[in-house]
Amino acid sequence: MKRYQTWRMIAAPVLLAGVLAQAQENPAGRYAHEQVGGVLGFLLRVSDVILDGWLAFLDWFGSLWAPLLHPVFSPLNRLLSGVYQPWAMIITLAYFIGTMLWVGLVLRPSYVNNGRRQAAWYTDLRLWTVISMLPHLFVYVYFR
Amino acid sequence: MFVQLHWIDIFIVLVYMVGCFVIGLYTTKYIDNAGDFFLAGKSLPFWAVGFSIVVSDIGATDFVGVAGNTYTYGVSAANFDWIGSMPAMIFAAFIFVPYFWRSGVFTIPEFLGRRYNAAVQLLNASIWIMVMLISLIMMLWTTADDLVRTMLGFNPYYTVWIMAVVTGIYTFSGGLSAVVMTDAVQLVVMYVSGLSLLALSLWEVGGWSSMRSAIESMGGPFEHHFEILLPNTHSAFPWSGIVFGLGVVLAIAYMSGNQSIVHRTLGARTEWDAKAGMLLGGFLKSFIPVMVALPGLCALVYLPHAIQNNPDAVPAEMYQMVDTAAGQVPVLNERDRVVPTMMRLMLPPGLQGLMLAGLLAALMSSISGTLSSASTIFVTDIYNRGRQLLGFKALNEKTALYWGRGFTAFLIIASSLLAPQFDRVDGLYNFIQTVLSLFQGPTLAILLLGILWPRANRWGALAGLILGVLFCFAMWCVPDLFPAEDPFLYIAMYSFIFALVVTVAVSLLTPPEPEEKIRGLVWSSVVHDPEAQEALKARIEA
Repeated sequence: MKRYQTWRMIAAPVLLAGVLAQAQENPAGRYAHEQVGGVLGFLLRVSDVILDGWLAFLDWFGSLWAPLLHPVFSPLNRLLSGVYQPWAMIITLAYFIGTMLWVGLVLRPSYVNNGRRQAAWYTDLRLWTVISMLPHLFVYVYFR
Repeated sequence: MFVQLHWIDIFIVLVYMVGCFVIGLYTTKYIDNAGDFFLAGKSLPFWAVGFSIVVSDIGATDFVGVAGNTYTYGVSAANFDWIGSMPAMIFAAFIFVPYFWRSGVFTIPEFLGRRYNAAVQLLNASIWIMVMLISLIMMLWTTADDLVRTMLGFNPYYTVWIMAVVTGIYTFSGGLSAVVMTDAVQLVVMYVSGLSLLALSLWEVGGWSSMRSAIESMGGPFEHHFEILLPNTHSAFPWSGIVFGLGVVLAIAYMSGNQSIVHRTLGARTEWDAKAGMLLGGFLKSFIPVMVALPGLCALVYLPHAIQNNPDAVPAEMYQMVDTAAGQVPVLNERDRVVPTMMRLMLPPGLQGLMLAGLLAALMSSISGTLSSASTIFVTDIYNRGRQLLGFKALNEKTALYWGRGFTAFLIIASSLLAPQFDRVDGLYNFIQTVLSLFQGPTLAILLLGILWPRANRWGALAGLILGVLFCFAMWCVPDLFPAEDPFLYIAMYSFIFALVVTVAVSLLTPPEPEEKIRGLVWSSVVHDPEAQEALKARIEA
């Protein structure tokens, strides 16, 4: 355990020195790589180049896949956008209620409450499921 | 322009920071081996598990990002904590958690390694480490730049490093026990401060009904602000993406396959505590949007009045005038600056310190949780597994503990150094969701098939994971592929289906896993086979 105390005592001042060094090099509080000198400035500029290269790669990769993926997803998008809007709420509420019914009626009570130390009604996780779900159900009904 | 903190605010923040530090370090005395560090000695009660799940999940990015999204898109942004949590947490509680708990694993990749093979384990673990690093960076920079700098004008470098040092040291020392103990304190601070901001925001705008009618009268870009499920033609959160992409795929993948969440339940003292903790977490999470999203709505009404009364309240370059049915309304250019601006303009001394402490609590709990989980994954699934594959002995308890602590220190220092690079990212909440969506679908597909379908094998899982992530990446790179601005909801949905099909097809074309290998690792044998259950019980007790 003493080994870690020593670690902490060494690590904390080193990190704090890092804070002061970085912050004083950039007193405006706004990040600007060109204002930062020394090794840190060099590392930041290298990371800039890497990031720019990565963004260029993403553009190229996207243009490669676009002709293949657009014909697949355009019909799917059209199909979804045509679905009758009230179905959204019906599906959502069915999802919430169905989950509660699954726990309450489908799963065995011994499985649901396996491991409990005291067999009382308030430790029954089927009841916990319903109580924890009710606030969620309420907001979907309220903001429908 | 910036808030001058009153002495009482500084006192509150200092008490909070020192308190967390002391509690975190106090738990060090209970840490003797890797099991204590990584799984808190399997001693956590349900309330600690539940509290910890909530505060680890909710970070300062939620306070800033969700409020910003609500300001721009309305209550539909709160879906991420409603349909994006509860049904999924119930599935996690009754399918995944007892299953992981009984099989005695430390991490999700470890389970995938046992069920499939080392390649799947290493790949999944490496992806998680990358994602956790990005999440850490985002959390640090958001708080430092968007929040603390906007509100107080502090240099973001100072803030990043101070947060990193305080949180890093107590996580480094106390592992999961320190994380969970400080999480309990942080939950209380977070709730008190969040509800204070909400109460004051509602007071300033004349109450809920008054605010609702004021926003509805604006029409135009604000006409859907009180609809939880938006039309499929909406550019931000169309309902099909929310219900299927978020509710069915992303949420279940997050609550069942995210080490930061599942980690707490694996440290529970009994299977019942693990499940009850997950349900308690779901209940507490239902109130999170009330605290983090509704202030974003209040800002739509409050900020125009504040600017009208005092044109210097918000710098002119920070907002633009938008035409609405109720006339021209000033709207902030960067939605992530909504909450900090509200806090600066609205909160009196004392509450500013409390709110700042609440936001720091949200940040620190998320950082410590991520650090603890990342170090567990690194040691268990990458370093130790890698050593075994290369023919070296497995790590003993003490050495695993050293490596866990060493990686914790490395990760927090690396995150702090890289944080300023994320200055370029706008809409940080969506950015994190996008990063998660790139592999959550494929991970859920192989996890689900691994648990439920004995025929799924290593080749199917490997193909499903690799091709699934590549497919996600291709969808993400192609512009305008989906109707949403940020297409992560659709990416998650389609990548899940794609990975499911690939895993099933490849598994059927290749030989099945031997029955002895998967015994106790698929649902039917874990739940229904008494012999497998006894074997698992003996392994856990050992």
